[in-house]
Amino acid sequence: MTEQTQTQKTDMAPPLLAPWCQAHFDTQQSNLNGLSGGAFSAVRQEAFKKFLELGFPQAHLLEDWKYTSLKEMARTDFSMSSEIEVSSELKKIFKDFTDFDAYHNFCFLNGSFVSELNTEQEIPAGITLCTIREALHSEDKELKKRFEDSIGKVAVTDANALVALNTGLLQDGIYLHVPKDTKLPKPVRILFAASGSKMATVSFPRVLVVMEPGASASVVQEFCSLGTEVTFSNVVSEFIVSDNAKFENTIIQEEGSDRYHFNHVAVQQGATSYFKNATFSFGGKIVRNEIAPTLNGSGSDTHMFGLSVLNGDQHVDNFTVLDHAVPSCESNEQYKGIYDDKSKGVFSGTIIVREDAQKTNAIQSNQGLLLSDTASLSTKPQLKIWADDVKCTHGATVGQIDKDALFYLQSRGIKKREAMGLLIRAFAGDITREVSQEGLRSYLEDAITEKLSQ
Amino acid sequence: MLRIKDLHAEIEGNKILKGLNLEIPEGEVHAIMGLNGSGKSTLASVLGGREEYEVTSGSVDFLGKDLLELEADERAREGLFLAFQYPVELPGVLISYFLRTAYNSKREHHGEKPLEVREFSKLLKEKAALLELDDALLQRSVNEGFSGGEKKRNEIFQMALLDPKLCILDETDSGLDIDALQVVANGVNTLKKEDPSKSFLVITHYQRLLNYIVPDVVHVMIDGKIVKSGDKSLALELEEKGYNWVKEELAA
Repeated sequence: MTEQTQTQKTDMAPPLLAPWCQAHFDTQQSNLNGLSGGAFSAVRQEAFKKFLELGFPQAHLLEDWKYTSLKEMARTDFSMSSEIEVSSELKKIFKDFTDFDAYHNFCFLNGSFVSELNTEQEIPAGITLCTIREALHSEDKELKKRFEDSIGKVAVTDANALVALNTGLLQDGIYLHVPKDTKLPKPVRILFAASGSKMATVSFPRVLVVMEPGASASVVQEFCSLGTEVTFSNVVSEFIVSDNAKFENTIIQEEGSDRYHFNHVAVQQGATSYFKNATFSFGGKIVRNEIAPTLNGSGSDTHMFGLSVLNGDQHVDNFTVLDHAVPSCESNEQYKGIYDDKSKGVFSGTIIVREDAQKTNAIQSNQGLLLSDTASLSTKPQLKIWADDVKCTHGATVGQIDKDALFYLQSRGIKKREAMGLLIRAFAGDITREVSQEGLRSYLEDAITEKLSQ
Repeated sequence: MLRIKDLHAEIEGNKILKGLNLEIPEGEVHAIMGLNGSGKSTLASVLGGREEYEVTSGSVDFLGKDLLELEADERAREGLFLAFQYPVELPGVLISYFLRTAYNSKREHHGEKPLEVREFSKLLKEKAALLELDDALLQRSVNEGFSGGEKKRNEIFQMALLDPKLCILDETDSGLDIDALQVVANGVNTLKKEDPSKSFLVITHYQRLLNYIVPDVVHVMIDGKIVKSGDKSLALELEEKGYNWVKEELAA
């Protein structure tokens, strides 16, 4: 009886919406400048309709959102801003990136491309590396078609309101297309700055990467915040990694403690392809990182890593859904977190092994290190296995700094604080080690030390 | 060098050290022998500065300083070294990095400039050669996947590098075969020869180790106290007759 009432209530509950969503959509539709008839425009309208139907995910209604509430975020009156103000701070963050010249650098402010900071890009022939706006407005019909054929194909909006919202409202982003058996030698680094300089600001960046068979490339996405007002970044990345292709993605979140960040990575992998993702979260009021690779070709390899280093009231939710749809694939998933003060970590890792996906080898682990009595980690591994000849392991541990290890280091003359730092860096080392770019790796190691000394 | 007076210590309300007195002058090797549970390892932990142990009364003077007032890391930087019975594995902490941090902590403590990576690597190689330690071990994480013997050798290696004034060896011989035991003992003897002013406190259950590290004084520990002291022949006597005769002698 009680249960029935509950269900009824759920069905009847109106979707959680915010007035700014509709307003921004209307403004955007009126600004399409002749693009309203395009294929992508139809996708966006459909997506936005879907969002209105679903509303923001609500913690009390959805098991997948049990620990992460967007209520306060939805109540905030967010503006979208296309104003581009290149402050010295933004310039500095953009230029001071470690080994700047070793990357193709792009900068976005509140979702809009900052052309002023654009650098001369020497892109090997055949490779497309441009902004989404450029792709949509391109004279090159083939390029435009290729883009429109791929966008929205991997990050499906059916059941994910925030992906639908991004698709409906996305402003700009990066489109990378690497043709067959081609390698992009330099990694692409994209800085997404969220600036709340005058008012609460929302942005909808998007990244679309298409790796044709045998192609290889890597991308680094960096998120920072400027200004004093609250911001909300709703980011979606779509990666198509075709047969034998290799792609690596690194996400670095360094937004401030009062910011909201939602990040969804959707991946389709072909046969014997390789995909690696590493997400580093250093902050945010509410951060939700979703990653959902689908292994559609046998013999493919997926690696997913995550590290959260949090203090204060920060909250980072890592939500992963890995779909083994075909036989003989391997996946390795390792998420770690270091939690101080009242910070909170959430990890939910689902591994689906479909009936056909025999000889799957999937490993998942989640480890948390709590540095205070008030920090916490909620962890939920879920294996949904329909095949019988598979190897799946998962494990979760939450603990404190090992007293014996600490005493051992101190007994060699190392100060307690330094000894703790050493043990924490060692704990994080399993994840930082996975970053291929050496300079970036040491930058991250320093960022961890810096964050822990706050 | 070390003067312990009427030391009482407990852990979780269990009284373990019950009025222990011990004096180790500069350049001497002292051995403490005793049965399991006599408080030998507690003494090592208390001297090393483990926070879990509470000193309820007594005093420990180390080179003119009140040892009990110092944190574990300060004690180490002042020249105390504790070789662990069970060295801890530290996955992800590279030995070379760990040792350089420890070495430079001590240098800075004494107002010296920290050594650069290259200078330190040179020093590390020299010390490894002195103790016939395989260089390859230095590329690994601290004690991770080491055999019992390798762990103990690593302890002695650290001791050689950090150049302490007083070395406490807490049952360093436990779990070692005779070859490994000799290697460890040779290491200790080499250090002793290099710097005769170093003092050693060797805590052991068996006389065996004392064949290789010859003590100046042997102490017998029973129920949290040192009840008898003598020269190296006392160790042989204990080995031969067990501990009961000491107890009987005390009762008499």
